[in-house]
Amino acid sequence: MSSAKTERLVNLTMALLASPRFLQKSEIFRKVAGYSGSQETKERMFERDKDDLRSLGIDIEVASHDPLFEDEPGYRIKPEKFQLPIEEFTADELAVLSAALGLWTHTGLNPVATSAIRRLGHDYGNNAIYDEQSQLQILTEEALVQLSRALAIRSTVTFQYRKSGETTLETRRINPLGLSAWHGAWYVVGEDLERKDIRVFRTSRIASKIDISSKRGSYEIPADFDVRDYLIMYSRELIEITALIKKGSGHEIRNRAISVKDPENGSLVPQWDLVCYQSESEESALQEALWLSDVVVIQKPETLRARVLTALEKVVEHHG
Amino acid sequence: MAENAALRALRLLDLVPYVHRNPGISIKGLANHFEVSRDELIKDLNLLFMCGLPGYTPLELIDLSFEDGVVEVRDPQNLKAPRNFNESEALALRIALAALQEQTPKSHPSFPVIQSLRRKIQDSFFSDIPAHAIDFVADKEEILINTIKKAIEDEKDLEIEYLNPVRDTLTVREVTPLSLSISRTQTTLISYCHTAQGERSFHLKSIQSARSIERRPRELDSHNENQDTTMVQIQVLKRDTPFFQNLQDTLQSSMSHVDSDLYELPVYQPEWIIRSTISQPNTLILLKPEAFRNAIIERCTTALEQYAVIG
Repeated sequence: MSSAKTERLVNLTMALLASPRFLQKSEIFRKVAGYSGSQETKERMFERDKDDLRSLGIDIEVASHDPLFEDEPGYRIKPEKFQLPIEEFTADELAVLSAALGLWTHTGLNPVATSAIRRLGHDYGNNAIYDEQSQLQILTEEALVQLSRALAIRSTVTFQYRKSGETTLETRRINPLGLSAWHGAWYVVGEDLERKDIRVFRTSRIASKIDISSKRGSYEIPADFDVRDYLIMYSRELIEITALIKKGSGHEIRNRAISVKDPENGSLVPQWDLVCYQSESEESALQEALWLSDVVVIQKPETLRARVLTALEKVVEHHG
Repeated sequence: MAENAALRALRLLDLVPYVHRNPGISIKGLANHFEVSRDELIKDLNLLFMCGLPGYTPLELIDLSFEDGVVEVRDPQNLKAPRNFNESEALALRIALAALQEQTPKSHPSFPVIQSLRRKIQDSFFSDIPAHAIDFVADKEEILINTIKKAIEDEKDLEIEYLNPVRDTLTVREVTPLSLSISRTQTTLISYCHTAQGERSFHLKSIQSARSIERRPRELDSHNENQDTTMVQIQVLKRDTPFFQNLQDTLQSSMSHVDSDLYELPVYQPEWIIRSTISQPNTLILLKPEAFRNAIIERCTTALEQYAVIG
């Protein structure tokens, strides 16, 4: 192990971090300790150092020293990207961060998580907010570890895939765009480079080692990408309902609420919340609204509200 | 495999802010935290002495000391704050936070913390992977089954948060799990409930959360759930409904001929038959007892008034 190189890398990082402007290579060679030898030697040392730091996740920005002229490029590390704004996290948040990273303890992502936890300086071992036993089963899939690595650096992956109901394997080359866990199974949604289309792959059907391309940042993910748009389990249409629900009741509905607000005429109905939620069909929403008719008043949709009123009148008529 | 210079540099970059935030930490404690030997750590600290900002005068070097077995950083230069998460760490964190949120009951104090953290991490730090590119929906019933089975195996009790759909109440109970009853339509936890001091069954779909706790003995004067029942008479308007299918074996025909739509049914919870009747106006009419009919009318009338007044 070369102590000289380690020392140079630390010095280079500190220098690029301290500079308010982009530093040209000539300035770096002149100012940063550790660069010696011929110009070619220094150039090669710098290129390797830069690659090493980038491969460790340190973001070195490159830009022209003077944007008006095409001169020698300059380099810098933005402090706001390099430094974790740890003061922005509360003690509770740091504990949760550590607990979350701790979920990876027995998986292939443990080294990644451990390095992050170490910097947070928190011990997640005594945090009892999750049940390690049950949760780990969901996160230990090796394919997930590889795919998340590739997604993190936007690298193309290649693997052998067995489609449902088929015995033969196909080689697939994809740009991973998103990951979804659904009831214990993981799915990767990616741009299939041979089929030129976005496809969904169940990770348990990947039948080979996942080969991650060494090229980083080889594609971009659209800002409005939503993994659920491509998954069949989310394709069913849900209806959206707005209802007044008495405070402290209607727990089943509140559990799946999209929003809970004070009603606009809150002063008139102080004991009620305005809750927006979804239901699989108007029929099931009707039954639920009637079941909880003492604490739920449907606002929208109008058709559902009208059906509730008709049903209530019918029950009165039946029992009057 | 020998550690390369870059990985060691990364450790050095992490050592400085960590010691700065933990002044007076022992060499042993620091070596443990960074999972290196004492000798390796001392080599690291000696190397850090030589590092600093361009100029490299004593004023620009990292100023640290490690005398008497404790380490201190007097001047970290520009390495005061810990290094930010890199892309892989950020993604691992986002997946884990999504998993943690799924696992944490909404009523748990950590739930809002997790929610706000997910937003904070997404908004502030890493925007190359959109928020909705990561999704996590757990099989909550399977997680519960595993937790219950493990508690039975380890002879532990469970603290459960239970949503009673009939009473529309959310309660926290301590139970001794006895067994799981798995039918075609639902899974039920059979248990001794310390809160109710008797045997109770809980549908898994209504258990919001469960965590194992130390087992405690059953109360000596434990008693079973009040078995008092009320016999109700109902008219079933439709037979091809889940209500009729599920209760077929319990319904007793009121009339001698089998085609009659009048049945008698023993009911343990009046609230259950009242809600069932109101929610299925095309299926069911409750005929007796009169008190239940009145309760149904009163509830519906009140509901209609609520629609007229506030809604």
